[in-house]
Amino acid sequence: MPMKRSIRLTLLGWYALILTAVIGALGGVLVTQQRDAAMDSIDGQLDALAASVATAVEWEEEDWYEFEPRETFAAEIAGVAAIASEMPYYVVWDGEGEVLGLYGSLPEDWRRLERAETDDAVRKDNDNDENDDDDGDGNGDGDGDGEHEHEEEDGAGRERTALDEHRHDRRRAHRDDLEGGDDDREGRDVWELLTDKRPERLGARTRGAGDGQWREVVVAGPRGSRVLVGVDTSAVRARIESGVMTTSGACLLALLVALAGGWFLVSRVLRPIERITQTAAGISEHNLSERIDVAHTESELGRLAATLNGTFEQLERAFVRQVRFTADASHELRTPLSVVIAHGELALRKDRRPEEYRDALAVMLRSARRMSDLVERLLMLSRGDADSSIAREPVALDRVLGDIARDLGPLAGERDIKLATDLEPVTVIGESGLLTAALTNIVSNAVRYNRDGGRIDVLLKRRDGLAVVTISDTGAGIPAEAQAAVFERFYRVDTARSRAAGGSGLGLAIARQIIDGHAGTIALQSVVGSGTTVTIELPCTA
Amino acid sequence: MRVLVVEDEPDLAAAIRLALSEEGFACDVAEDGEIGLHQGRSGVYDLIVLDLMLPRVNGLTVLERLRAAGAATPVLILTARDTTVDKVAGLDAGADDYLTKPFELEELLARIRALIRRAHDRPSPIIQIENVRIDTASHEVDLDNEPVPLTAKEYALLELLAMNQGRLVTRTIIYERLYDETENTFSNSVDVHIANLRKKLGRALIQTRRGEGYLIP
Repeated sequence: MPMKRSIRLTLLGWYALILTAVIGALGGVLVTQQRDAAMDSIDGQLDALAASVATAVEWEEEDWYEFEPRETFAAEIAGVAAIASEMPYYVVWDGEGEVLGLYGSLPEDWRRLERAETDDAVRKDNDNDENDDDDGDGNGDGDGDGEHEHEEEDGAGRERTALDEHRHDRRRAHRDDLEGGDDDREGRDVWELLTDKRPERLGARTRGAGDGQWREVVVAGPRGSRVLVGVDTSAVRARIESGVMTTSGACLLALLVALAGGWFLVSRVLRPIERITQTAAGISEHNLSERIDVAHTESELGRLAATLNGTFEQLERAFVRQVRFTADASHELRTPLSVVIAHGELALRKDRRPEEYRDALAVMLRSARRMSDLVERLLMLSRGDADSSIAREPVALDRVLGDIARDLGPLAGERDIKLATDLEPVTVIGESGLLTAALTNIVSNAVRYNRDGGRIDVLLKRRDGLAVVTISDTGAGIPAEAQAAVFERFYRVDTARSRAAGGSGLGLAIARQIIDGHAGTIALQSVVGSGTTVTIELPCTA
Repeated sequence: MRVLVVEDEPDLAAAIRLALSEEGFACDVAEDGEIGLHQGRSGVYDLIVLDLMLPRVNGLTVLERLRAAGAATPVLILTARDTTVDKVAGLDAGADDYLTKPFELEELLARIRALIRRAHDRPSPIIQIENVRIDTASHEVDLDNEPVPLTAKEYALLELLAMNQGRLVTRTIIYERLYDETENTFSNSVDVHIANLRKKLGRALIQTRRGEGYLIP
């Protein structure tokens, strides 16, 4: 369980991380683009208005600047207003910093600060009109009427000329037009304020910060005059803000949907794995025939399932072999056991003659020996199953086969079977005892299943780096369909003869196990009625 | 009573045959399924002891073919195969009893006796005819509660006639049931045994049907 959860979480974690990064970046780009686009279009409109206003500034000879607002401004003003949802404002200064023209409502901060100072100044003026310097040019007020005086000189020491008068009046008229006259004092304050604030630097800038922001553009007019055009950007910023919110919301939604989709996909992938795990867990030694359902599993997992099924198949087969082997083994032991018990009981049923007892004991002993032999072979097989390692000594096969032929000679002679050998000196690496057992099994089979008066040929040759042993007999042969099965444990072709002759069906199985353990091969050819040839190949030393 | 033992393991077959002979049965041995089937069909046996793992024709097939041919001889399966599946298969194929190896000799004999009793519709092991009491389990015979010693063949003949009480038992059948294939029979040996039985148990017990056979009424 913990395993699956961590895969799911890991996958989704990485997925979420990547997704967040990608969507976040995308969102960021979109938002930035939106903002830039909005600001650019405002700047564009401001530029247009500023340029237009600048063309209305005329310079005539001798410091005479003329500025007359034109009706054409209306178009550019409307252009800014359309984008910013606010009316723009502009200020025009002449080359000496005097305000030539005003339009619109100026930013709060221009008015707020300076207005407080100016209030004090006016109050002082009312107290002491004569000496107050209302307009800050260094001269007193003179007659104390609170009005700006027509001074003889201005602060810079220049003489006021008729030109200045004219200018002043014009400005005043202008001012009155724009400001509507009601708040005359405020309008005047702003006018004076702006006189100080003639911008030197050209270009676009932002005034203010936080909630109150204005975007302004300053262009130059003829002879040092300046035009400043600006607009309150709060509406624009509000729009951008909401655009950001919308984009963010959309990105978040997309992220969530994608995560949900990811969760769904991961579940889909993990579900078959879970199913496979459950099925595999359910397959135990009591239930080896169950298999994972491959039909509904997608391809990569399908391969996994198929492979697992193959493994279970092998397991089941091995298990079945095991069970059958055990059953066969115990079965084989039962018959000799029955003989021992039956003869024992029979002998003891009543008083018997000594020779009857002797006969009984002889039969019982014979059966006991058979059982012992069987048990030995079974142990050999199971030991070979468990541990297939063999000793590695040089074994002279010709010597081994010669000994076998000599030992089994009398047995063959009993039935007039001729046993002939033709042995080259060949040495292999392995265990002498095991090889002797294997070859003895095969040669004794050749004797056992031979016809009376038949023959057995044992050949040993070296060929292509292999030791080749051939044992052929003139026996009854093995039918084709049985030839593959003869090497199986407990398999007997004809149970009658082999049982009577003492065979257990294990001889060839043991021989094959030993030959396999020595990295060799054993094969059998047979023709019914003619005879059988067993061929063994073992790797030999140079 | 004559029993056929179909068993390919010679030592075991010998032990069973010996035990059955000592019990008074005539006993033949068949060492493979083919011979067993052939002999079983002959109809001379009161019971067949059948091994399953036989060469040539396996035991189950022998049984099926016997039953298909209409042979009603009781069959006791004696085998090393001990799983429930095997037992069910054997019994359902027509066997009357199933005994696994290794087995107790006494149990085999008792089961054989039981099957033969059933085949002759004699539920009780004790047969009482007039004043003659026959214990088929212990082979003791009493006349008026006095034990009467009988030879093995005398007892076998008596039991045969008693089991078939009320039915005529022909001489042929007597020869078939009393002797196995290895025994030489003298044509008058039956008459001798009948005479001895009459002497020991009374003339009235066994009736003669001239030219046909004998019966216990």
